[in-house]
Amino acid sequence: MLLTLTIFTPLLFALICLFVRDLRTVKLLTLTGTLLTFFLSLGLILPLGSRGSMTSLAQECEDTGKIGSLLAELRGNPETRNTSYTENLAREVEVMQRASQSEYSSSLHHIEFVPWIKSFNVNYFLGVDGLGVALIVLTTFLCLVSLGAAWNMDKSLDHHTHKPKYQGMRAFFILYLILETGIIGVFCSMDYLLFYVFWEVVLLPMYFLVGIWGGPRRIYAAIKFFIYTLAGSLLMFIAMLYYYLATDGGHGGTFNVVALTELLPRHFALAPTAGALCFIGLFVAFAVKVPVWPFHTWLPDAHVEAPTPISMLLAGILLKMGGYGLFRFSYMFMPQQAYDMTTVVLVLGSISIVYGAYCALGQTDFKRMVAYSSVSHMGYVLLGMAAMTKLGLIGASFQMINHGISSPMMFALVGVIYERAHHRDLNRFGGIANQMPKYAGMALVGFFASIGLPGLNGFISEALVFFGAFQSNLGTAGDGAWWMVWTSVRFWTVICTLGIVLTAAYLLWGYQRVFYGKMKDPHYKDFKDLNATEWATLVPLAIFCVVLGIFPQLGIKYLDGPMRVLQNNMARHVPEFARQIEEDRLENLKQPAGKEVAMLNGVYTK
Amino acid sequence: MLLEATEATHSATQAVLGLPRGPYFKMAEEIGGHTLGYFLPELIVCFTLCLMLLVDVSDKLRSPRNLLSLAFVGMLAPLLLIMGKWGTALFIYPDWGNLAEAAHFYKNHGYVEVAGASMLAFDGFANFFKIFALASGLITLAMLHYDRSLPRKSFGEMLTLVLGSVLGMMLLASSTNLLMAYLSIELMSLASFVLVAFKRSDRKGTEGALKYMLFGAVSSGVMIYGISLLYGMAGTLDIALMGQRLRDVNDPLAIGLALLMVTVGFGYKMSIAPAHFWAPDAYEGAPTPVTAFLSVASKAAGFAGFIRFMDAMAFQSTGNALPIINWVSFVAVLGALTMTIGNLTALWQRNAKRMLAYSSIAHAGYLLIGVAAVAVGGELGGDSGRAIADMGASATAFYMIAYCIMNFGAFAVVMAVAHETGSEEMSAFDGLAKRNMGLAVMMTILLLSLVGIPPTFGFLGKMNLFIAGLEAAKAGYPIMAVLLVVAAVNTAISCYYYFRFLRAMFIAPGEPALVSRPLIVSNTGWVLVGGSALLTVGLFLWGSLFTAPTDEATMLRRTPAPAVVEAQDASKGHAGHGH
Repeated sequence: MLLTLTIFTPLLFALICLFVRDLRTVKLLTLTGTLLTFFLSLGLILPLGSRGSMTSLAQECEDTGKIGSLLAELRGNPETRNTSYTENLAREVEVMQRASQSEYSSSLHHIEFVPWIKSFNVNYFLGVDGLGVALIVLTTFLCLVSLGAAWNMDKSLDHHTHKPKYQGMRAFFILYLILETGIIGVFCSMDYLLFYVFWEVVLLPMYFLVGIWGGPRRIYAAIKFFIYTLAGSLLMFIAMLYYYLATDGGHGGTFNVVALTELLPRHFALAPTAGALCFIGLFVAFAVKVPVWPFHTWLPDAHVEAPTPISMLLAGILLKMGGYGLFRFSYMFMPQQAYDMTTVVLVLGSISIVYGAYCALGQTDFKRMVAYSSVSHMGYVLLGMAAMTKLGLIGASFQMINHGISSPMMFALVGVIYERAHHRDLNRFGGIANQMPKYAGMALVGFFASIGLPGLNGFISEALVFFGAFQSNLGTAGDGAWWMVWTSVRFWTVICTLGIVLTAAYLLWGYQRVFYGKMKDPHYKDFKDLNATEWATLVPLAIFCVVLGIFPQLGIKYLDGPMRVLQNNMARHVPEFARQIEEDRLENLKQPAGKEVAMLNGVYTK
Repeated sequence: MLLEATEATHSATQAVLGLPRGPYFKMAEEIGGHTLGYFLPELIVCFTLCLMLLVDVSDKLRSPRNLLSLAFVGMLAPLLLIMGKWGTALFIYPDWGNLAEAAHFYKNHGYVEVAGASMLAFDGFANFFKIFALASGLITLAMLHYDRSLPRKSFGEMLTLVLGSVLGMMLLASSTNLLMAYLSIELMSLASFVLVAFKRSDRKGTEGALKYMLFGAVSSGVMIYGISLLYGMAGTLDIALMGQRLRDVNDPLAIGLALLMVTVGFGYKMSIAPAHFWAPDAYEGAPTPVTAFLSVASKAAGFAGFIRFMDAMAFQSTGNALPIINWVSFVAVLGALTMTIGNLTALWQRNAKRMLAYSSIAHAGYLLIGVAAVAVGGELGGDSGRAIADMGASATAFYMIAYCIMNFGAFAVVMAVAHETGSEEMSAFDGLAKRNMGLAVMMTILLLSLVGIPPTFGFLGKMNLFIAGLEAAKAGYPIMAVLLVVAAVNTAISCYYYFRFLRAMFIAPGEPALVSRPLIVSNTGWVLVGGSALLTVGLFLWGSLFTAPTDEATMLRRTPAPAVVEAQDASKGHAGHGH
């Protein structure tokens, strides 16, 4: 019930807003809605709060029991006894019961299960594990915080005409709330079709939010964003239907994610070609969202043209939908294919890191620089994912959370200066630090969190990714020829360190050009320092940057479980991988004290 | 439910009256010519049509309201009769024994064998498409009522023509004889030529109608030539029997050519590439209700005829029979071509109606995915093949329902805008959200459905088609997988031009003078637009609702009618082995 409430509270408020004419009331309603959703989502944490084993088997059994009673009811009724739906449900329960012994389903909480489209065995099936909870809380938090950036949009005047720049702001807030519903739905749907529905529901509000309230090239940016994502998700759609048919035992297949995780790896062991095609389809769908080079070109356009609060959401959450999809679906459904394609994922991730940073270095538009930094930072997620070591995976998922905090902060910072200067040209700024010292101070937190300065959140996840990736023996070709070294994770990890240097370069150079040096325009003398709503936007983000940098366990403890499930799932279905893990474990035992354990002492305690 | 109920009643009456219970076809022979009762829906339409002509002559009676009510009843009654399948028989012959036998037979075979009906099949497939034609006809009536730009004086003629066209569609849906199919196509085409040119002073309409007619003449000529070739080779016009006979004819080139020619005739009605050139002009020129009617009902009827024909020709066509036309590849290539041409051309349109016309061509391409799955099923044969063919047919039917709802809705919005602005250009939509937010939101829902994005019914329809296509691909037809990828790419392309509407409605500023004036939609308009938009979302949420009628569409009679076989055997006996 809690999940349903969390998903649909924003939608409810959106519906209420439809009937309210007054903009101020709409704003307050939106604030109430997002605040309420945020508190509801905090409620999701509660059963996960306990350290150690995160399973609460009792709840799981209770929920399976609910389906069981539904089944008994269906069997009791002569009209429904022999329908294929009853048989399907029986099979579903069987799979669920079998799967409920699996680590995966016991890591799920707040399960809700209501039959929906019976002819396709589609159920309204919700549930979250640690990854889902972390991302949902991030979503509700960001939606609340970004509201600060949207709060005064109706008052901002056009630079030339001195008329209100943004009109119809009522619709803006309504769409904003619908968007939030869609995103939360994505992170907790355990039915693949339901997931797809929410996935697409996110697109349309985003199209309008960018297309109506964006910058000068907004229409181009909005439609490009839409078509890129839609093309990707159609590939996912075909793969999804293939899964449905592949699990068809005579009465239609299933969209149940837990069941699919049980059934698909076995199916693809017999159908490797289909498996490879499905993996590619799904990978492209999610890679567009992440975005991974070469599918990233929509991102600079969309992020730059979107208004500040929407850029924050785009960078903060929408990109995570891609990463979440890779973790939850690509790697869980097709472990063998994921293992085989390690090198592809690795190379694309590394290119994203270095290329994104390199492009950011060349930008003169402040916002465009931040946009490219997203490409670079999300590359670490792929690097950690490809490494498939425990540290790598945790680092990758933690990087999603951290980037979800530091990148919106960067966009909020860009918004602050753009609101005053009406341009974003890095070369025309200068000396802002004197004029706006508080702003410069907040910006310092944001910039350094992005760079990955120790003590701030970005450092932890990037360090974990690098440690994890360097540990990995995947793709090393072991006793193979030396020139096959390019397939190894380690080789690419070394190359990726270049990304760190470039990141530091473009961010520090950018900071220098904006805040230091001579004031290039006398107008800058009139700039006022941060106002109340800007404080309200930046401070929570800055606090999280620092808190997660010092107490990373706060985030990591939720990610540990799901990542272990992911790794074990791969080990279960990919013999070579299991062997490698075993070898690594023995290797580690030999060493008196695992090096990385010593290094990470206090950072990651397990 | 109905069937079970009748059976229960049957056993009760049997107990009371002691009625004999024998094989149904015997009983049908016993009652001989009285089987006309099964033809009752068509008869009602026919009768209404004649009545309408009479009413139209009388100055006293010929008010648009009277004419509309008459046409409404004349289509609703047969619709209800077919929906309660056995109502038909019940109406004329309250003979419970007969009825229950028929019900029994229908349940087991998916059709009723009616003695003497050697040209028409009374099967679930026909029922579905008849209901579809009648329902589209009814919606068209509402749209005609809504369209204020039509000359009210000649309203009677218009409604008569719609009824005639619907009659042709109903006949086409159940024709099992190629000549009958040809005549039905002609009936519906002739009525629609006139409908397109109904605004006589409108040059665009006349031009469209002329193109439509020229294309129609050529393609029906080609079709009848193909039919004559097939008749020469098979010695019969019965579709099912022809399919069986052609397997023994060892002249692949001639058969292939003839089948291709017949396909041209159906393809013209389905408006699939390369027989689609008439469609944009006719659709743009015709009054909008007629455009909607043609793009939904007429297309569906074309598909009904084509599926029945192709199923018979492809079914069990294993071995070296029919090597020239590999139906699967043929239909798949046509589908890929149609959707690509439709979508790519729609990208460049500036006229809303014309854009929707091209989009309807693209949708014909999507529908061909289902038809290709039917072809795969036919080629595979056996139970597994049958299952795939059924999936294909029901997916096609399902998508048609979705397409019907969303397309009528979209055209209704175009009408609502055109009423107020007098223009059907895209620019008329500029700033629509400011003038009428409700209308803009409804249009958004309908467009999402046309693209196939959840949460809309169009998404479920597309999902059905893709599942059928994938199942066919899994059965060892990689070309189906290619077709699906093409369809996916096309969907992405299509969202570009559908989103032009969104851009115009929500983003474009529009003319200040116009934008400040609210756009008023009449009650009929709201019923049409709002009804279809709500259905689009509602049927997504309760998507299971439509599996029963679409399952009906899989019930295709695949054996020749006994009367045909008997007659053929007799004539063969007389002629001996002369040829």
